[in-house]
This record gives sequence, structure tokens and C-alpha cells, in this order.
Amino acid sequence: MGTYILRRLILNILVLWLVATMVFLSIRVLPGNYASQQFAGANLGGVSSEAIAQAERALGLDKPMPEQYANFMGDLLTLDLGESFRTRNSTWSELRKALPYSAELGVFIILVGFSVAIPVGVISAVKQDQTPDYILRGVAISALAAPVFWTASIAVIFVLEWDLIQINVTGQPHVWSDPWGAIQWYMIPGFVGGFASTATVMRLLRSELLEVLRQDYIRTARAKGLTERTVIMRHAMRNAFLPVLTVMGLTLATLISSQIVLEQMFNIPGVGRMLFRSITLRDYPLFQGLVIVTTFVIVTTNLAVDVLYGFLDPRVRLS
Amino acid sequence: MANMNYWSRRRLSRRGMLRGAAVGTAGVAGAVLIGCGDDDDGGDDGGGGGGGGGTAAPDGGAGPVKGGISSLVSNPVYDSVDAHTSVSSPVLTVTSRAQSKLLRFSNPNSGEVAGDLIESWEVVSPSEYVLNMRQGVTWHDAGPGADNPASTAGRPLTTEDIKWNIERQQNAVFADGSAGAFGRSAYWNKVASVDITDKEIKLTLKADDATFVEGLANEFNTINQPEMAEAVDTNFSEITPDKVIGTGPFILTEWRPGERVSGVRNPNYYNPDRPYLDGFVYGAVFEDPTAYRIGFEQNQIDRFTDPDPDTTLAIGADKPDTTNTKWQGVANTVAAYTNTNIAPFSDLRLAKAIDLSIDRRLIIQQLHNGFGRVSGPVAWLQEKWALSQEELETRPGYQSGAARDADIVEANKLWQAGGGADVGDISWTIAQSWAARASWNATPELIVGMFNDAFSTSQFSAKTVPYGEIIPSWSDGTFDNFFAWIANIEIPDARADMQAAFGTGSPSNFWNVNQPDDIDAPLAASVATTDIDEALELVTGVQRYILDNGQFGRHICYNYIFPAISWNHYHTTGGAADEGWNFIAASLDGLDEWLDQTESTFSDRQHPTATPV
Repeated sequence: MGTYILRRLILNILVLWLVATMVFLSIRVLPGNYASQQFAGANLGGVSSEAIAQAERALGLDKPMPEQYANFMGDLLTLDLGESFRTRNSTWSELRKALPYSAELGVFIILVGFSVAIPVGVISAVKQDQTPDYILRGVAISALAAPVFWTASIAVIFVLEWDLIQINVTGQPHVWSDPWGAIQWYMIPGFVGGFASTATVMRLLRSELLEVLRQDYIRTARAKGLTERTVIMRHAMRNAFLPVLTVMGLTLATLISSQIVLEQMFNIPGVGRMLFRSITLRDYPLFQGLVIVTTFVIVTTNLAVDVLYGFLDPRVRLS
Repeated sequence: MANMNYWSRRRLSRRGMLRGAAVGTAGVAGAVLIGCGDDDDGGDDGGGGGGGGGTAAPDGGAGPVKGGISSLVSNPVYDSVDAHTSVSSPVLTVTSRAQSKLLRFSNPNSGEVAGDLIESWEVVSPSEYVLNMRQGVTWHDAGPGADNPASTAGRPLTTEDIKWNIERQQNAVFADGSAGAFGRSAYWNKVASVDITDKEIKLTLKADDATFVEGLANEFNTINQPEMAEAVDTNFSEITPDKVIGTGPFILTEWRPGERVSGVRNPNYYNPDRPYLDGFVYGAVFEDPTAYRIGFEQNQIDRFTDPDPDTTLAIGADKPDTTNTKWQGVANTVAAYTNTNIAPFSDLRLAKAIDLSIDRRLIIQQLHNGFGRVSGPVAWLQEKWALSQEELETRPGYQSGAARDADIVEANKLWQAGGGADVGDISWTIAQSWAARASWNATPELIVGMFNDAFSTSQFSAKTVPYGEIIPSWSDGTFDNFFAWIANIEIPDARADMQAAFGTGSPSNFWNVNQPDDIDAPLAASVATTDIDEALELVTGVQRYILDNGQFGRHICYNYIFPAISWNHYHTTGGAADEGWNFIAASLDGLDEWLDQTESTFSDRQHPTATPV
């Protein structure tokens, strides 16, 4: 296991270097740079080429690209992700501000998503091809098909019309500083995002459970006279849950940076919105830093899930 | 209906126009006092024209009261902590609250000015001005800027400070000797010498210039503390509140781009009656209409402006008793440029054909829901100097109905005479940031379709290009044909703008228009004269000449307007009750905003907290 982990760690470092190089190049392929993009939407006609050149000098964008790359990689080796062009704060500090918001939203989405998906997946599998299965699958697919911006908009209309909750888009409270305020703020995006993620997990769990429920050891368990509940929960679920665990891990990792639409709609200053802004503003250091950190989280989660597999399934550990 | 009032607003009478011009312009030759500060009287600060300032409570209620913290949003396009080196008006939203200018507009729409750091001023001759500095003004003595070791907290403002600000922009160099882009450098270089005493600043201009006074009120012309500015000036794009110290009504306590800006009342402001507010908070502008809607409807922000006017109007219609809607013009004029420096548009017949074929009303309708007015070489925002809408709408290229059909026939004749299909494919550039807006993303197809239809051809195609690529090609004359905003108008007086755009040798004359007799001479005479009637005649004459020549490739199209809605408790200045400023008036916002605490919408609101000093 130790050798396996070491080999995966080395591979992950290689992946990170490749990703770092790709993000460095890809953001620079886009037309314009921060010096010009920062004026987008302002008094554009008043921008002179001298003003842009002045801004480029101040940001170090006038340096040749190889020099910029060397500086970037050198800084990366010391875990220095650079400073955001826009705020001049370090990328780490920007991430520290944004990550809690994305994590709070992500946890909300996962709680909603999995607390719905797991029972629904189980019921759907147990009641295969019966009315509950059809209904639940229909609902799950509808949740997957409906764009989050649409369902969120509908929810907002209802909330505003009936003044149901206070969505604090200006105060942006954290769960630990203002729990009720934060819960109200995250409620719609949490439920909308959660429901949207339900279908994938529910369908995966259903198909895995159906597979497992046909296995000999399940038949044996039933023959032993175990209750159906014990058969499902103790014997079937444990085996069917392995692929679901993989999806959960990856979902958590990607949720952090992928809730761009919901973060924009509810003014949540999370990582997804920051990533989007960094691209539109050509904030190179911020974009590079966020992608590298996100990549790190994903590859590390992947590794952790793989290692966890070994502990959950002795066959994997032995192989 | 707010928009009905707006559109039915009568154009200024000629008498009224001249009266306004006389107030707003450096007047007669000789030692005549033409202006004085109005801040010490404790009354309303200007707001003169257009139905009076908005500081008066609606429905004849009680006047402004002190207290409260406003909650607004600002577009966080902050390119500098220093208005001198900024090209971005959102910077002024912040700096103008903390820093003062020499003068400020009391009515930006008409160009009426009032004293700020200058209490009164004299026109000794049309090229000689004596500015009498307000006494007892001090720099902020608290807050992040005052705490910065580079600044001198609480010291009195001096005429030396003002001289330094003028010369810094004239020289356009930073403290370390490196050259900088100072947007108002050309304006200040009209000044030949600056002579100061303890109380007076004497400015001698290189030539007579009747437009000079309005420039002193330009929102970008803030007064910096020299020692602070020198310490931070090469690091101006790093946005932090500790780089800003001023003499203005508020002390800036927080400036976090993309997050929050806040400030608190300056207790030592020279006018003890202002500001009305205890503080202000700006959140970052919402990036989604849903957030806008939630923020406003749940009373978290006092004022709401959505890029889509329909959203704003829908909210107003839904809450007619608790909200007010104001319309205001956008100072970024929309134009189409053809490059007359190079083929094929160096043949002026083709440029004229383009000018005739542009369907300005169609564009306003398609992209702005009909909310806008056509503009000529002088935009209607600069109403005093522009050709009347009535006249403009009788000019080729601006007509409708059968007259437009005739314009298209004429355009086709010119197009064919200039080569027609033989000139080959023509690419039209749309600014990327323009086309990226959801409601405007059909612009490339619209513009190209308009030209192809007009000339029954398929020669025209469109591409979207970022401003960063477009701008450098302006100054070297190689720019592609282009449609989007052009330079925003900073002051109501159009004369200097006209010279900049069409004057021979002007750096902003990207088309190299060279008309000494028909443009340069009359414009120079209009700038030099203090006779407004004469100046107006000269300027309108030049506009007609420019229109007759297809605007020499600088095809001004229109200026659009947008609605802003606020809760009943929120008041600020801004033209008539239902009409806002057409020009940047951030310094007036800072001074005149107040919150009516007796309104039910005030008690329902979520009260923000400004970061204390």
C-alpha cells in the first residue's frame, strides 16, 4: 500500500505541473489582459494605450512570457501562488476568504443531495419497475434536466412574493457568525443544487443495488431468514455504496469550484465565482492559483478515495 | 409614468439656454466676480436647473435630515486609487466622497458650478483666472489614510497643495520620474503659469478659453495630498484605503475591490451642515439580475439599477407607492467609426454612405428597448450645445419614414460611386465587452444586417475584439471599422470635446480631419469667445458642416438612458424628480444623499454598518 501511495503521489505532482503549465498558457491565449479587461464596462472610450501600457508595467505584464513562466514556476515551488491583479491580495488569502463560502454551499448541496438520493435510490431499487420506482426516477431525471438557474429563479419568485425568508445577498453571513441568516441565504441554492445532483447518485445507487441484490450472498442472507431491512442495509448497501462513495468524493471536490451559476445568482463570494471573474478579468495569478489548488484537491481526494476503497473492500487492498 | 415625463420634457428655451450658459461659463472680460461658494450658507447645494435638486423631500415633506448609512452597489472597476491616473468612473464613486475638487457642478446637466475648495473665482481676462481658496480646510485627521505614515493628518490645505496637483498633471510624471498616463493632462496644459499666494491661485492660460472653468469641476480633477500621492503614486493600481486622504465629506475606511467600500462622515468637513449621512457602504455590483432583485426587493440596498431596464421598471410598477424611478443618460456615446485614413473609406463618399445607412432608431429599439435618443456630432447630453432633436431628425441619416428611404437611395448612390461591390469584404468590429452583455449580444448580426440590407449586399461581416486590441490602433490611425461606446463626456460644455475630436492635429482626431477654415477656425473662435450666443452659432454651424460630410467617419449614433429605482427613504440630487444626472456627479451624491427616517421603507430596511475609523 505504501508503494502504491508513493507512486500515486509522484503521479499527482506530475499532473499538477502539467496543469500549472496548461493554465499558464491557456489564460494567456485568451485575447486581452487584465490591463485592458479591467476597464470593460467602465468608461471604455476614455482608455488610452498609454493607460494600458502603464497598467501593464505595474502588473509585470510587459515582461516576456518565458520570464513570466519562470517566475510563476519558481514561486509555485515555494507554494507562492502570486497576488491577485485585482485586489493585490495573495491568492492564498483570496482562497481563504472564498473557500468557506463554497464549502458551506457545497456541504448544504451534498446534505440535501445525498439525503434525498440515498433513500430514493434504495426505494427505487427495492421497488424496481413498480409505481414508486417510476415516480422517483421521473422526479430525479426532472431535477437533473431542469437548469439550476431556472429552478432557482422560480424559487426566488416564490420567496419574494410571499416574503418567506431573508436572503442576505449583501451581508453574506457565515454559518458560524449568523447561523440562521446563513441558512436562509444558502437555502435556495442548497436545495436547488442538491436536487440537481440527486439524479446522478440516485441512479448510480439504484443500478449498483440492483446488481448486488442479484448476488448469491444476498440470496443466502435471505435464506438465513434475515429481515429484508437487514439484508438491504447490512449486506447490499455496503457493497453497492463503493462506487457511490467515489462519486461523493469527487462531487465534494468539484462542488467547491463548480457552483458558478448559483454563486452568481445569490451573490455568494465563493471559489466558483472567483474563478469565473478571474477568467473574465484575465487575473492570471488568481486563475492559475485557483485551478492549481482545485486540481490539488481533486487529485488528493481521488487518492484518498482509492485508499479508502482498500479499507472498505479487502479485495482491493489485496490486489 | 417616469419615462413619459422624461420624454415629454421640453427642450430648454433659447433664453433659458443662454442664461444657463452664462452661469456655467467663464463670463465677461475684466475683473468680474462670476462665482462664489455656496456651502457655508447651510442651504441646498445647487441643484439649480432641471426642476431643482433632489434633496428636497418629495411631496413637499420635510427637508433633508442627518443620520443613517446608505447602502448602494458600485461596479468594482477600480484601476487606481488616484482619480488623476484613473480612466474609470467607478473610482470617482469612492474618491469623490473622500476628496474635494476646486469647483463642483451644482447642476451637471446644465453646467452650473459651485465652489468647493475654491470659495470664489474671478475672471481677470479670458485667459487669466484668480481662484480664492477656501480657508480653514484641513486634511482628514483620522482613518486609514491619515494613519498612513506617508500622509500628514489634519494639516491645513494650502495653495501649494493645489499648485502641486496642477503641475503634477501638466508634467504627467510620477514622483520617481517615470511617465504616467494622466487623463486630464491636456486640460491642465492649457495653463501657462500657476502663481500662488497664501490665499490665491492665479492661473494664466496659454490662450483665451471660455470652457476652462467647467473643467475645474470635472469629477476626475480631485485634489490629492502631495506627500501621500508621491509616496504611493507608482503603486496606484493596488487598491487600499490607506492610500486615500482628502478634505472631502467622508473619510474612507474600507476599500476592498469586488467586496465592499465604506466610509464615515468627516467631522471636520468645512461645511458643518454636510454630509447628511453618517456613512456609506458600497457592495460590489451584483453580477446577476436575481441577486439585484433580491437585494433591492428585500430592502438590503437603497437604489437599484439593472442592465435590463425592463427589470427595473417591472419592480417600479410593482411597488409604485414605495419606490421612485429616475432616468439618466449614459455619458458613453455610442458610435460607429469608419477608418477614413485608409481604403476603402478614405473615399469620403463611402463614409457618407455609411453615415446615411445607419438606422439609429432601429439600434436604440433593438438593443435598448427604445430607451435612448439619437445624437449628432455633439451628443444630446450636452444639450446646450447640441443641434436640437427636431433639427437633427431632419438631417440625412437621422430621418425616418419616407425621408429615410430617400437617405438609403442616396446612400446606395454614394456606395456605388465609391466602388460598391468592388471594395470587397468589409469587416466590422464590435467591442467584446459590448457584445458580451446579454441584452446586446445580437449587436454583430444587427449591425452587419443593417449595412447589408441597406446596400443589398453581403459584403459586411462582424467580429468581436477586446478593447485592449482596439485601443492601440486608434492612435496610429490603423483602427478597424468599429461600433460601441466611445469616450465618455466629462463636462457639459461641448466646445473642447469638438476640438479634440475634429481639430487638426488633435491627438484624439483619429480620422485626421483637416479642415482649417470650416472646423478649426470656428471652433477656436467659439472657445475663445465669452459671448455664448456667438459661440453657440459657431458650434452648431460646425456640427452642420460635419453632418454634411458624413461626420468624417466618426458616425455618432445615440446616447441611451436607463432607469434607476430607489426606495422612498433614499434621496439624492439628480435633476428633476424623475430625471437623474446625465453626467458623472459622484461628488454631489456624497454631499446630498440623505435618508428619510420617517418613511416606512426606512424602518423595514436592513441597516448597514460602515467600518469605523
